[in-house]
Amino acid sequence: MSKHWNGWAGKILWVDLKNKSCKIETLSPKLAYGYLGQSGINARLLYDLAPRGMDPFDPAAPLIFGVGPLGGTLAPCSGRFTVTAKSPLTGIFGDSNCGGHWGPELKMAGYDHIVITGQAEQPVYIWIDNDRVEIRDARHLWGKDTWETDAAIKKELGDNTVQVACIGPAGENKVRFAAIICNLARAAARTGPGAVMGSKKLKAVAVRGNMGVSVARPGQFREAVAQAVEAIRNDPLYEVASTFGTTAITGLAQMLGFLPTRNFQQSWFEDGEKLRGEILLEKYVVKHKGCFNCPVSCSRYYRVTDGRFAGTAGEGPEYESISALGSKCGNSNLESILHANTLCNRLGLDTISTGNVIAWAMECYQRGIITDKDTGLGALHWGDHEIIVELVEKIARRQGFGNLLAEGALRAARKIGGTELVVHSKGMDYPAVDVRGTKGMALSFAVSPRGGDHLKGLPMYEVGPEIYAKDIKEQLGIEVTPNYWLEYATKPHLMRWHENWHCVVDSLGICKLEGIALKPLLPVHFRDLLAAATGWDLEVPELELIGERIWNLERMFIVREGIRRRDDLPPARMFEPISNGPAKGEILNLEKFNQMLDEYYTLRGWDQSGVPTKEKLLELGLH
Amino acid sequence: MKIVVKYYTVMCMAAGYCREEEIIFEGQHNVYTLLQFISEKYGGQMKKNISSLLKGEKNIIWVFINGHRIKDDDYHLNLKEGDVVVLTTPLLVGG
Ligand code: SF4
Repeated sequence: MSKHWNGWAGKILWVDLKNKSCKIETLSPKLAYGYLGQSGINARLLYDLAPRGMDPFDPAAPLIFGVGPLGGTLAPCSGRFTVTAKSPLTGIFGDSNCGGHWGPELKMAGYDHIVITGQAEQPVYIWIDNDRVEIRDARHLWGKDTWETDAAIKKELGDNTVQVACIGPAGENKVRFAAIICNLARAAARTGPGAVMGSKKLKAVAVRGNMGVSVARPGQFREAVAQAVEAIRNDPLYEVASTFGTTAITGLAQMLGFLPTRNFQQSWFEDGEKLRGEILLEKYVVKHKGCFNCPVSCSRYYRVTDGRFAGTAGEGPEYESISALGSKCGNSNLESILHANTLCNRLGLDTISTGNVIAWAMECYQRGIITDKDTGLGALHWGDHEIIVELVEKIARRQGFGNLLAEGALRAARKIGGTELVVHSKGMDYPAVDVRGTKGMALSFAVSPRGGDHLKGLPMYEVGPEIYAKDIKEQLGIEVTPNYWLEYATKPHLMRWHENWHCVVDSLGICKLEGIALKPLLPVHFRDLLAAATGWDLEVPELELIGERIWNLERMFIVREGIRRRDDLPPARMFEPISNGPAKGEILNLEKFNQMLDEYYTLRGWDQSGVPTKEKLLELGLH
Repeated sequence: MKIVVKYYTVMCMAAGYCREEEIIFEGQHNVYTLLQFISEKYGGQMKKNISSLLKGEKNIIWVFINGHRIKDDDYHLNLKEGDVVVLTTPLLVGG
């Protein structure tokens, strides 16, 4: 008799696009109890299915979608899903976490994961209607942007409530940082899963599910949900999060001096005041939006009513996008940033890598590495918002100079020069934090399995030390000081803890904004929600151990690809002093960074070249 | 004495979306009297925010003077001509 699952749907859908065949397999308890779900199980599947050296565009390379055991339940902020694939941008581990409503719909259709292999002969889309799965012709959709595709599929299926995750022209053209978009603006973008989807000629995955999600102990689950919601609503930052979302960071980043400006040449933008979330809210936001079952609803819908960009509408932008398409490019024209953000969503591009590659090109121009002749567009001056908007389109369509930029900054630099100007780790561009002033974040970006990345190990305890002082002491026994972010000591310990818990949160299916494993949701909330949903009683340390297993598995994936200690060092620019603003003079000290790395490896049970030891793998059941 | 006050996030909203203003005082003033002045000027939510800040109820408002965060009990700190005071909420990271 097959096992009845609670929390998990209990099924994995396998789709082979080459043979146009599908099969449904039962979720194995070994996978569920070993890796929880969503990003954890995705990582295990990728590890097993993508051998060393496999080209991300190899038809056999897997593209994996996953939802966690809390996804689609009443647990707050449970609208997430993860797409995992070998990254076309970095050539190593790739995954991307996405909100909206698509993930819960997949769960309600009865699946925890979809594993897609093979390459279709002609463009197709997958239509999942509960237990009925079809591979449909998508030739008529090829070339359409994500908004047009979403609308066309809904019309074709005669159901406006179908959830569609699709690619735009960028994915079709295998731009190495192409995104998969759902709900018009929710993006699985980092590491470029949209390009993998495009390489398979897969335009979209449309889902309709109305089977619900069963939980093991409904009464206990309701209680755990109520406690989690109460914690979220009582969070001191609740109002800020629900009003501004991440755009609240913009003004503060400028004030504290960590707003990357002109490709990280500066950390304070003289026109940064013009990019503040407060201006966005006052002038352009028309309503707030949220993902599935979210009491925060941090997202915002904007509209530009007049001027050059009149008619622009869309959702977001996040702080990261404002910085990438704004300060990093020296651009203070907020309306152009809104327009570029909408373009990225419609064309299916990662806003962070898009902004970073343009910023890198602008610095190359500044230094004479490229000229008007190379760009074919004339000058690439800092802050020229018209050229930024034009480049977004050209990158997505791989037109002219955009074709070079579509390779990502590191690959482009290897072709034309300027590698030392690429601010990246392992080939993925840095997010919008100048880590010279935040030493734990520097370590986090350096060791993340997917490269320059703020979401795998996001050390909230580091940047808000005083409001979290009690929690830091309780959870980690660390006493913090007011300028804790400038310290090196204790950061390896802090990062290890954050990374483990982020693996848990991403595998359960809860949003990072609220489920960052410290505030407002704590490890006990996750333990209680998981236990009540699945009937699986675990202690907090056991749950953290699963997070540690996932982190080590992802590390093993990149170690298998040849990643070692030399790849865990921040880029050259981080070892130069910050040139302006409130954090002027801050710098990463190489010797101290190496000491952090030594200690981090030791705490992790890795050797000093960054490879997990046999003993550690044995302890985690990864041998 | 001229002081520049900058408002961020919910403090900016409470100040009617004023992001920055100059406040001119006669005589000596400190952070506490400046906060009281702002509280009276805007009333409503601003009054509530400042009141909870001064009572230390919810640690959600940060006060910076010239780029340096002041400690919770430093409201008696005297202000001087040209000081830049920032009223903000703590950092939230993500995106
Ligand atoms: S907090 Fe924001 S991103 Fe997270 S689930 Fe809610 S609306 Fe979505």
